[in-house]
Amino acid sequence: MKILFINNDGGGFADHIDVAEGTTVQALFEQRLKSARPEDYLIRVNRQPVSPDQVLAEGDRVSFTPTKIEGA
Amino acid sequence: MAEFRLSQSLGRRRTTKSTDRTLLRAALKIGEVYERESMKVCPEPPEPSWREVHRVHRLWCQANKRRWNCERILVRGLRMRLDELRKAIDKFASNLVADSRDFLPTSKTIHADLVALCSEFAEIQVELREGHLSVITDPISLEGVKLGPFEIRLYWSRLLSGHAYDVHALEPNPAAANDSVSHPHVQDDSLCEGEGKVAIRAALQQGRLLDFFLLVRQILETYNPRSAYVQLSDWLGVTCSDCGTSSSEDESFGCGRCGCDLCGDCSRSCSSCGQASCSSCSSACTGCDADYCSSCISACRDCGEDYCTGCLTDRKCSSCLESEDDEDEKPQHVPEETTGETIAATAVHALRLGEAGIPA
Repeated sequence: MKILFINNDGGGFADHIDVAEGTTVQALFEQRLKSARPEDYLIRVNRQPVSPDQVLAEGDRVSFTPTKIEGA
Repeated sequence: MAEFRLSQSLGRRRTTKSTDRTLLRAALKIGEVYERESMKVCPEPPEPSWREVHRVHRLWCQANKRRWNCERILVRGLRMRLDELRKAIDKFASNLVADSRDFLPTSKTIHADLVALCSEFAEIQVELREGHLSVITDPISLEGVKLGPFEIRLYWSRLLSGHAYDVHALEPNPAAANDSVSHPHVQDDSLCEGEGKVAIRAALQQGRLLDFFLLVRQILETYNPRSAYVQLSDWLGVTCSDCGTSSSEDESFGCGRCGCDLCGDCSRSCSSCGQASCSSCSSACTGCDADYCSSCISACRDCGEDYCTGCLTDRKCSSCLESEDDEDEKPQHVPEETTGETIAATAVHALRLGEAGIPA
């Protein structure tokens, strides 16, 4: 199924991707941000905070935004 | 005055019908801006450069057919025009902005972002006439320094320009040494985005306003000591021991004698050794009025006033030396008779060579 995935880390990534049916938010996080810790990110599905075990649905908008972003 | 202000207490409320209507109107206006930007004139393919290549090619073919001697010149000219065509094609390709069209935001998606902002921030303000949208952060405190809440104001007429938003301290606690710095990474209401720069640009270009505001907020909540306008350790400044004003560490001096902190105005440089001193550890020479540290100044042994070594002779000031000379020149009192004895008058001027003393 297709979801809109937004990663606001670094240069930013926003695109529609394919994920397997039944993928949870946590599973997507581990796939996409392998070495990162979820507590270091604001995780939103359809613009709302969610629990890690929430199962993603077709057309969901998922965003990961780092909590620590260093200004200059 | 804000046409709409939605203040949220702790826990964040849902929007009401009237607030939702205002957010919808704002979303429509913002959507129009993105729509306008997407309809800008597309870049033209490099047709003039291609026609030029054709023209020189025709000339070359003619010269070749008629066996003219200018064939070499025409080949060179054709190569030059092919180079220009290649550059024009590259420029045309780089001007294509195909990616942004994939993320052309709609009023619906923008509205959804604005509604979500009400849950993420303490307050949201919409000024439809003036064309800006603001969110208010919770009070920000970094390493114990309270900076207060900040307003992030986005101007939707400038969404895709270089400076679309301001960051304004609402209860400013600026750096002591520079009151234009309201946050380690904010000067003159302008945020230095650092690591967030590219992501912020992408969010604004793609109309992801919720992501934009979250990114700016997270930068405000993060302290990067390696690249701050003013470091938090210097935030309260260095207080001058003499006058009490605050200045930055870079602009302050230390007294070379007692080590206390001094501002640039109160720091006195010794005219002899150059050492910086505070008012307690330095004095002005009574003679030349220049400042000296306590090592380079001494007291006249007669009058006790402070003088530099240049103004002392044999540890005496010139005034005391002059007084001493005056004392030496005065004639001394000679008694006329004494009981039972004749005493020779004490000579005022000693006998000189070749002179004989004459008894009185």
